[in-house]
Amino acid sequence: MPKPDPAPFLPLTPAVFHILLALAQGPRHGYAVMQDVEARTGGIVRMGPGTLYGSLKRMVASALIEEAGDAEDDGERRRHYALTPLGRTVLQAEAERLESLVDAARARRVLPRPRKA
Amino acid sequence: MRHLAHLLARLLPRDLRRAHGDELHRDIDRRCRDGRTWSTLTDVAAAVVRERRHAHHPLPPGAQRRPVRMSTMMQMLVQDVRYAVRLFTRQPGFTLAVMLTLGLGIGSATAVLSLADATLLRPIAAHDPDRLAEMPWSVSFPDYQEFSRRADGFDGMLAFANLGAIGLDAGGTTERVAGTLVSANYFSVLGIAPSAGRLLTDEDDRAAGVPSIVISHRLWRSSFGSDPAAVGRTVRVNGRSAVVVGVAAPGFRGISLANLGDIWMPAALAPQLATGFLGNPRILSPNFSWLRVVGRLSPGVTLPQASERLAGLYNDLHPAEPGAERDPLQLRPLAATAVGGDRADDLRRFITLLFVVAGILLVLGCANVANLLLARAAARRQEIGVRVALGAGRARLIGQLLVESALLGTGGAIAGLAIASICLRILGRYQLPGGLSIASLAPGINAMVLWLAIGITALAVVIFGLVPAIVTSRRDVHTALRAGGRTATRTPLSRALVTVQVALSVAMVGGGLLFARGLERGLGFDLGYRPEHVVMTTADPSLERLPAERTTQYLIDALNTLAANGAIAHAGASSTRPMRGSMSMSFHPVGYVVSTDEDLHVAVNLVSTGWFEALGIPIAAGRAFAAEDGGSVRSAIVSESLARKYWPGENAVGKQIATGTDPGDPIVTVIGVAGDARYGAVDAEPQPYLYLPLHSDFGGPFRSQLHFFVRSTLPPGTALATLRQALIAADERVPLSSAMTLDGHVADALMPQRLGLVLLTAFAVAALVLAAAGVYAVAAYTVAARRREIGIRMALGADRRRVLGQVLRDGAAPVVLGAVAGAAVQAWGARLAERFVFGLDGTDPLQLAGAALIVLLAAAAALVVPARAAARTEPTVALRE
Repeated sequence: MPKPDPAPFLPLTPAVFHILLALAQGPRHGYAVMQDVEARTGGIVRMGPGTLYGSLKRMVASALIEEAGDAEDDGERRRHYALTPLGRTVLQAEAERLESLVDAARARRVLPRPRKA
Repeated sequence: MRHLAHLLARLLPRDLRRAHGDELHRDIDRRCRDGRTWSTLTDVAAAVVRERRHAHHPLPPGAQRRPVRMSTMMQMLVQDVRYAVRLFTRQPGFTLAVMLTLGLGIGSATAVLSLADATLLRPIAAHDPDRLAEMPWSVSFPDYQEFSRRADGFDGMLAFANLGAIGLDAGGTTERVAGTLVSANYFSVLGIAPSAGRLLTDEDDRAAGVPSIVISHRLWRSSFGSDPAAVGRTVRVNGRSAVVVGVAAPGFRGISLANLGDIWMPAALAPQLATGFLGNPRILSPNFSWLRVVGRLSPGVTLPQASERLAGLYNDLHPAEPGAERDPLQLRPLAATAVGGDRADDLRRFITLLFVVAGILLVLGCANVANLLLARAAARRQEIGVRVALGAGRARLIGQLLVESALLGTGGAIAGLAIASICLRILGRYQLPGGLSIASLAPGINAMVLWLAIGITALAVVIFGLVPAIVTSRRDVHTALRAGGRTATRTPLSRALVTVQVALSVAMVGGGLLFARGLERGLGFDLGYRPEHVVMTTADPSLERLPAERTTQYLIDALNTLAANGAIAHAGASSTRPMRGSMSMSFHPVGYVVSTDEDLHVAVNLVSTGWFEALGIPIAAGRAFAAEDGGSVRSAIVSESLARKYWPGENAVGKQIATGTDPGDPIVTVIGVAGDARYGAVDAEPQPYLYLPLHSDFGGPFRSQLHFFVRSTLPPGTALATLRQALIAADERVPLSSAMTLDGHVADALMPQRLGLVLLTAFAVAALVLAAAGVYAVAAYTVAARRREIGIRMALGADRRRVLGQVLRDGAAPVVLGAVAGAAVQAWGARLAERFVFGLDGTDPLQLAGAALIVLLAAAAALVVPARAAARTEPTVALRE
């Protein structure tokens, strides 16, 4: 199968990127995604239900994610979402793009070089 | 709050709600339980806005939303403006020409509109002025009282009479102010409120006690220093005590624009307060008709209805002779008569004429600019072709051209406003027909006119911006890109514009010529008297209420003093002066058989000894007045035309005339016949005139002001000083005014005609310049655009002269057509102007031809330069382009 081409999707909006990232380690339901984003960014990026589900709807429509069935979580039965191969490819491509940007910033001494641990 | 969030969530697009609605609501609840209510609310609200917008403009998934289109448009606009400015600075001559042309048109139109606004369109300062209507003729005091009491269909009828000058002494010097005699209900019918004190009421009509007067707000400020204690203060009006009971509302100066007033007094007390004719103790009797009547129509009553009812009442009061014809009584809206009084029609026609002229100039200006832009756009075809080829959409191109036009239009509007202010300042020095001084109206560029000017500009921008823009952008790209463009610029639109311009110029130039000739003829009229070397001064003994005998002595003393002065050739006085109207009275030549519909009235002037000599009016038969004609009046002098009319073929000297219709009125004997004179500004024929001795006891009512005339070889300043000294020596209490030369006075009276001449000449010159410029521009650009073609033809052997002839012929065709059309327009327009100028003949063929000729010459001159440029084209140079 030919590799799906991520180019049309780049650059990603922050909301989409964070959602994809949240689903990178396995399917989650909506509320869990919101919690993950806030935890990971230390509360800087806040995703409310309106933003989340609006983005989810579009991402499903463009096949970046798919519904992964219902599952129990915290005593509730919730719908879960998971990355599609396309979604994973797009996430990777975006991460690489961001990495190259950061590298360029480092080369120009905008960001300090990571100290070797 | 939680419920609010749920409610908001319901506003999300339906497909979203269907797909994720349950989760959404559950998560809203959960977050609110976690204490994040507020952020949830804001998030849902933002999501609603975002999702609904996305529903209309779906984006590619994951894509960033681009910033709003607005900023792109702004960018394009700024780009266009900078481009346009660069273009203008590269062609400053063109830019300036366009802006000035536009400014001329807009400026003149704005100036005229401001003038019209100040005169025709200014509303009367009364409550609901559209319901006010005026009787077409004056009535007597008892008649007015009957009307007021019995007239049906009116919510009140007022009466007024303009007094002209009154002497007001507010504690200090006597000043002359304009006064009006009014009925008690004047202010209440008009709906005017006082700004201090009270206004007149019925009580004030009582004859006992001190008369009450009301002053204007303006007078209160200027002469009373806005002192609140002015109310209740006793002043002297024409030497008689009166008390100021109130100040009228600010801005109210009466309802007759030609006679703005500052004092209002009860008409019922006229004999006590007024002087001259209106101070006659019999003025309140039925014999004198001196009151103008204005009524406020009741709601629902129409003008014809009210006229009919009033006519019925009038007939009851004054039954007509059986079989006699009577003019129908038709009320006129006050708005129509407030301005200009009797000469309201003249004034209106004058303003209309100005309107037409300004409109023409505006159209001319726009046509010119349109043509210029069209021509220039044609020259830019290559540039435009390149831009089209590079992908510029037609809308974008038109947009850019419109920006250019808008900038030009703005510049033109600014120039126009400047020109308008200058115009108005110049106009302020003149008078309108009807004697209304323009300066007193203070026409300014008010807000309404400003908006109108902007509106006109916008229209002009659309017209001259859009048309060339559309025409140019329609061009086929290939044709445009071909070097220079081989096809000629024969746009029919361009030629049509030239035709219009030429036609309008011919009309304008023709109009200017008409006025010039008319005025020349008017000024060349034999006045019948000789105003050169004559100075005049007005003395007003009535303002000090000098008794009649004292006035006569004053007159005799002054004239004796002047007669004794060797440097003075002749001196005399009269009760009226030239160019300022005349008095009339009924008379009857003894033995003359009156035909049934003949109304025997004659213009009359009381003149002293030496008057005819001072004015240079010849005595054709008999003699002039002498000292012996004083005392009880027995002598009279008639004008030649009067003598010819009533005693044809005979010597009028010795004939007798009854001066009035009462049997007690004195009968006078003609002792002399004077030459005819034109005392009025627009008299074509001299009026028959009757002269009575000023130093006789005739007619106290006729003798308020004395106008002294002195003929001498002294320089005017000295002569006036001498006259003044003599008058002061005779009685220093008598106020003097209007000291000027008779020449100047006559010239002043001809102001309206002069104004018309100045304006039309200025406009005509402007039109000529515009038309010539237009013809030149089109021809020049045509030649430039066709250089290649011309070069080819010359390379192929065409004679220079043939090329020249071709260019001339091409340019001439629309010009000739325009000239013919213009002559027709001019003939029609001249009829409008006939009223203002003496003996105007609109259909004089010499006139029409003359104007057309002038314009044709100008156009020919304009064509010469481009034609020669064309003929001088070097074929090799042209072909290389």
